[in-house]
Amino acid sequence: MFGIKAPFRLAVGALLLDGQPRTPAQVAEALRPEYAGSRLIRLANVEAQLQALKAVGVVRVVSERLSAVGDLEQSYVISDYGRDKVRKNL
Amino acid sequence: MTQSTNAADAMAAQLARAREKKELGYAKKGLVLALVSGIIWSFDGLALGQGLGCAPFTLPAVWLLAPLLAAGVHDLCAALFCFGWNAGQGRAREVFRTLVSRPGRLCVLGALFGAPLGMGGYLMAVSLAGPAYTLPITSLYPAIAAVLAAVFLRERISRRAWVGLALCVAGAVVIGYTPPETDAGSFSFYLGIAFAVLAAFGWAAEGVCVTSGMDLAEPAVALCIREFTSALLYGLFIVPGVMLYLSLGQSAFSSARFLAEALTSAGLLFVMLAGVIGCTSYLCWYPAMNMTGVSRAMSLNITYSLWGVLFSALFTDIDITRNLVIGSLIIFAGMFLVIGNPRDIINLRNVD
Repeated sequence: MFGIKAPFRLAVGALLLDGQPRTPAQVAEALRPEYAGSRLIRLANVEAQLQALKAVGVVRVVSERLSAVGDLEQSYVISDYGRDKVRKNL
Repeated sequence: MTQSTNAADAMAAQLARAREKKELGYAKKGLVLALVSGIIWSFDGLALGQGLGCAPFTLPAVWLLAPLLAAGVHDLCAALFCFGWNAGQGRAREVFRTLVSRPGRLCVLGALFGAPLGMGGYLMAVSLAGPAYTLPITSLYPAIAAVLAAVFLRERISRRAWVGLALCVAGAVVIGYTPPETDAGSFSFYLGIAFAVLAAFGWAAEGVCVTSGMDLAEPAVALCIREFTSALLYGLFIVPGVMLYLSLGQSAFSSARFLAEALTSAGLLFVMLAGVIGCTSYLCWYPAMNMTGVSRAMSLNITYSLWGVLFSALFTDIDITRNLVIGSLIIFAGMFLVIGNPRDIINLRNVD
C-alpha cells in the first residue's frame, strides 16, 4: 500500500510463494536489497521468523542436513495453507 | 552395503535428534514465557492497586472514571515503553509497516475487543453485579479463547490441555471468590452479569485476534499496535465520554478538577509503573501465544491470580485463606497438565 514494505514476517512468507525451497541464509540474501540496513535481515532473526511460520503451519521443512560443525540446516517451502494465508494478507 | 546403511541410519538418527532439540527448545521457550508473563502480571496488579488506593482515585464519585483513567494511562505508558523496546531492537519502522498491513488491522481489532469490551465490561460488571459474580465469570476468558482458537485458528488442543485449562480456570475462580454482597435478581444485577460475559468474551476475542495477526507479524510489534490503539480509545473516547456523563449527572462534581488532581497525584506514578510492568508481562505473553497457542498461553497466564495473592502475602498483610490454598493446588495441577508434553505443541494448528 503506497509503496510501504510488508511486515518482515509477511515478506518472508511472500518470498516463498514461488514454491522454491530456501534456507534461512537464502531468504536473508533475497530480502537484503529490500530491507538493507535493517537489523531484521540478520540470519538469526530470519531463522526465528521461519520457525514461527512453521509452528503455525505457514511453511514446512522440505529438507535438512547437518553442517560441518553439527548445526541443523533446514530448507523451507510454503504450505498450501500458508499460500492462501499469505496471499490474503498481501 | 551394510556399512553404508549403518552410516545412513546413524546420520538419520543424528538429524532426528537435532530437529527434535530445535523444535522442543522452541516449544519449551514459549511455555516458559507464558508462565513468566503470569508471574510478572501479578506485580502489575499490586502496583495498580497501590495507585488506585491513593487520592483522588478513591473518591466514591469516580468509581467508574478512576479505573478507566488508570487503564488509559497504564496502556499509554505500556505503548511508549513497547515502542522504545521495538526501536531498540531495530523495529521502529516495522511498527508503522505492520500498522498499515492486514495483520496489523487484526491487532487493532484485538485492541477494540480488549479495551472497551474487556476492561470496560469488567468494570461495569463489578459495579452492577459485584465482584463475587464478576470474577468467576470473567475468569472464563481462557476457556472462551480456547474454543474461539479451535474454531477460527484451527488450534490443536489435546484432551489433557483442555482438562488443564479447566483446572487453571477453576483455581482462579476459587482464589478470586468473595461472598456475594448484592442481592441477586434485580435488573441491574442481570445487566452486570451480561457485562461480565461481555468482558470475558472481549478478552478472549482480543487474544485470538492478535494471535491471528501474529501469524504474519512480530509479537512485540503486534503488542505495540494493540497498546497504542487501546490508549487512543481510552484517551479520545472512553474517558472523555465518562467524564461528560459524570459532569452532566452530578452538578457538584467537576471532572476537570478530578482529572487535574489525578494527573498530578502520587498514585499516577504507581499507575505508570504498572504500565511498564504490564508491558513487560505482555512482551512475554504475546510471543507465548504465538509459540504455544492461545489456549496454553492463556492457561498459564491466568496463574497470575495465584502469584498475585502469594506476592501479596509476602509483601503485605493479607491472610492465607483456605480458598487460596485450595485454589493454588488446583492451579498447579492445571499448569502441569497444560504444559504436558511439549512435543504436543510442535505443530500448533490443524492445517495439514
